[in-house]
Amino acid sequence: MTNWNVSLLAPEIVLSVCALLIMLLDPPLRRKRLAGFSESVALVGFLGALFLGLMRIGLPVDSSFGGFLIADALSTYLHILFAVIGLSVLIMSIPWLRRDGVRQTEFLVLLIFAVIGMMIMSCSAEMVTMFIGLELLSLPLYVLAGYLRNRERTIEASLKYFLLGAFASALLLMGIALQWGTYGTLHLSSVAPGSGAAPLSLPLAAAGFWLVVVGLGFKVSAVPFHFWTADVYEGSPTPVTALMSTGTKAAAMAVLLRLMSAGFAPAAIEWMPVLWWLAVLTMSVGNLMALVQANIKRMLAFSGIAHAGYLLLAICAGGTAGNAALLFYLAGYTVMNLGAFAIVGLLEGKGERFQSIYDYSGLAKRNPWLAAMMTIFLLSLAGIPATVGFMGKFFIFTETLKAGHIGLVVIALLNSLVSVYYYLRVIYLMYMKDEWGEKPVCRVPASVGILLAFTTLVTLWLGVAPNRLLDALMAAARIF
Amino acid sequence: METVLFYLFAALTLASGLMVITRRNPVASALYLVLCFFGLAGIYVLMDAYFLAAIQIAVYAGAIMVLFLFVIMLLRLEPTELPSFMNSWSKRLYVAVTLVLGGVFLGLDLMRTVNTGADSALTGEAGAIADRLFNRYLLPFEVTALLLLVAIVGAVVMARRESPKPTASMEEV
Amino acid sequence: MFDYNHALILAFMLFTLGTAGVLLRRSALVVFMSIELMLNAVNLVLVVFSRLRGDLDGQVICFFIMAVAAAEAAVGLAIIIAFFKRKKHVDLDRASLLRS
Repeated sequence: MTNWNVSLLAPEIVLSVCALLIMLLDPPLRRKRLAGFSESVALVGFLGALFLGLMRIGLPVDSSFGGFLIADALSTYLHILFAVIGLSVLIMSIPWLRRDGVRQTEFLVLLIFAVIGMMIMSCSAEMVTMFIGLELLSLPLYVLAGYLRNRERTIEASLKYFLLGAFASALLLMGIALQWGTYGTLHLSSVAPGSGAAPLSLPLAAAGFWLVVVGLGFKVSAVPFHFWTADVYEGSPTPVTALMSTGTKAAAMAVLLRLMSAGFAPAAIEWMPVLWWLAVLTMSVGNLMALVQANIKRMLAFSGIAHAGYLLLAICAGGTAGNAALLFYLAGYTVMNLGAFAIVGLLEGKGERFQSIYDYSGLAKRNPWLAAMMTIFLLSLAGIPATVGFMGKFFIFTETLKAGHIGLVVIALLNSLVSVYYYLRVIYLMYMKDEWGEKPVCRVPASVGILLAFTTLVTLWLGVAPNRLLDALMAAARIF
Repeated sequence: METVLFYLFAALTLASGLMVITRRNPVASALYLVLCFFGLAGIYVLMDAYFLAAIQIAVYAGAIMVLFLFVIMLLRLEPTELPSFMNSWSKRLYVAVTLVLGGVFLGLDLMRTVNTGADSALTGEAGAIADRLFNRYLLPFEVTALLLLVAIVGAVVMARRESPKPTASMEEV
Repeated sequence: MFDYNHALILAFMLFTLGTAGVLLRRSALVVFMSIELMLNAVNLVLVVFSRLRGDLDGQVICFFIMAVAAAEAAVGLAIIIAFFKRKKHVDLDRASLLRS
C-alpha cells in the first residue's frame, strides 16, 4: 500500500499557496492602493516554511509518495536553509524593487517558486522528481536573471544562463535515461554499480553516471563547467545573484551528496580520482581568476567557484563526519555570502552603478558599520579564525586528511592563502584609501539592517561556538 | 517490413537532424526539426509506444515547433549567419570531446554490450501510462504542474509589452 | 524485428548532432533547436530501454521530458524575444559584452 503522506510537503504547499494568493489577489488589491500586500504574503510564506521546517527537527525518517519523497534529517536541514535563503533574498530585494521601480508581483512569485524547486530537490529520493525540482528552480532563475530586460547586461546574462542551463539539463537527462535503462530504477540509493541492481550494460551505466555528474557540475559551477558563472552573476540583479550563489549551489550540492554518499558510494574507487581533479581545478581556477577581477560581483562569483571546490573536497572526504563538515560549510557559506551580497546590493546604488571594488575605497569613513560588517564577511570568506569560514574549512580539511587525501589538503591550504589576497584587497581599499569619486550616502533600510546584523552574528557565533550545529548536523549526515 | 520502415525512419531522422544544424536559415532548421520529430514518432510506433508517438506529434511537432516558427517569423531574422566554424580553442576542445564521446557510445554499442535478445511485447497505451502517471509518478506530476505555471509567469514577464508609463529605472547603464 | 542496438546508435548520433549544434552555431534560436534535438535523443533512448525492459516507466519519463521541454520552450523563446528587442540580433558571438 502506497503511503500518500502529503504533510511531509507542508513547507512546499504553504509556499505554493502564498504564490497563488499573490498572483490572484495582487491585481484587484493594487487598484485599491493596498501597498505591501505581496511582500507581506511572501514574508508570511517564508516564515511559515521556516517554522514548518523547524517543527520537523528530531522527527524520525519518513517517506511518502511510494518512496519518491524522503523526509530525513538532511532534507529537514535543507528545508530550513532554503527558507532562510528565501527570506533573506526577499528582504534584500524589496529595497531594490522600490529603488529601481521594478514590477514586484512576478518577481516575488518567481522567487517563491525557485525556493520550492530547491526544497523539492532536497527531499526527492529519486531522479525524476529531482530533475523536475531542478527545472522548477532553474526556470524562474532564467527569468529573474533577465528581470530588467531593458538592460543590455541583464538580458545577455539571462540568455546565456538559459542556453547553458538547458544544455546542462539535456546532458543530465541523457545521464538519467542511461541510468534508468541500465539499472531499471532511478532511486538515488539503488542506482549504483554493485548495489544489487544488475546493469544491462556497464559502459552505458558509467556514461550515464558521468553525464549526471557533468549536469550537476554545471549547476554547482565546478571547473571546467564554470564559464557561465561570472558573466551571469555580474549581469543579474544583485538579490538574484545572491539566490543563485547560495540556493542553487546548495541544492545541487545536496543532490550530489545524496548521490555520492548513498547510491554511488560502492563505486568510490572509480569516481574518486576524477572528483579529486575536479576539486583541485575548481579551487585553483576559482581563486586565481578571482585575483584579477575588478568588479565585486565577478570577484564574489569566482570566490563562489572556489568555495564549490572546498565543498567537493568534503565529498571526497566522505563518511558521516565528512558529510557533516560539508553541511556545516554550506550553512556558513550561505550566511556569509548572503551578508556580502546584501551589502553589495545596498552600495551599488540606483541602476547598479557602483560595482567596482574601487567604489569601496573609503567606505569606512562614509559607512563605518557597513564597512565593518563587510570586513567580517570577507574575512570569513577568506577563512580567518573566529569566523564560520575558518571553522568550516577546518572541519573539511581535517576530515579530508583523515580520509588520507594529503595532497588535496595541501593544495586547498595553498588556495586559501591565495584567496586571502583578494579579500584583503577590498578591506584595504575600504579602510586605507580615500574616497574615489563622489558617492551618495547609503541609507540602510531597517529590514536589511536586521538581516545584516543576523548574518554577522551567525558568522561570528558559528566561528566561536560551532559544536552545537555540528552535532546536530551529524544526524543529517547519515544518508539513507 | 518493420525493419525496412525502421531504417527509412532512421535515415529520415538522421538526415533531417543533420540539416537542422547546418542550415543558415532558421526557418529551414525549424522545418527540418519538425521532420525529424515525425521520423522519431514513426520509430515510436514501430516500438508500440503509441501514446508517446501521438504526443510527439501533438506536443513537439505541433505545439513547441509552431512556437519556434512563430518566434522566428516574429523576429524576421535574415539568414546571414555563417556557421562560425570553431572560432575558439575552448569550443574546439568541446567539439573534440563530444566527437570522442559519440565515438565511444557507438563503439560500445557495436560491441553489443546491451542484450537485445530480451524483447518484451510492451505496448504503451494511454491507459497504462496514465495509471503510472497518477499512481507511482504522482509527485513529479504535481511538481510539473507548478513548473508549467512558472513557465507561463516567466514567459509573460519576459515578453510583455512595455508598461505605458515608463519608470525612471529603465535608464541605461 | 529490427535491431534495438541500431535504435540506440541512432539516439546517440542524434545526441551528438545536437551537442555539435549547441557548440558550433551562433544563432541562439538554432542552438535552442539543437537542445531540443538532444532531448529527443534522450526520449528515444528511454523508449528503446522501456521496450527492452518491458517497463512502462521509461515512457512515463519521456512524458515528463516533453512537459519540461514545453516549459523551457515557452520561457526560452520569451527570453530570446526580449534579447532581440533590445539588441536587434540573436547572435551569440556578438553578445560578448559580459566577456572579460
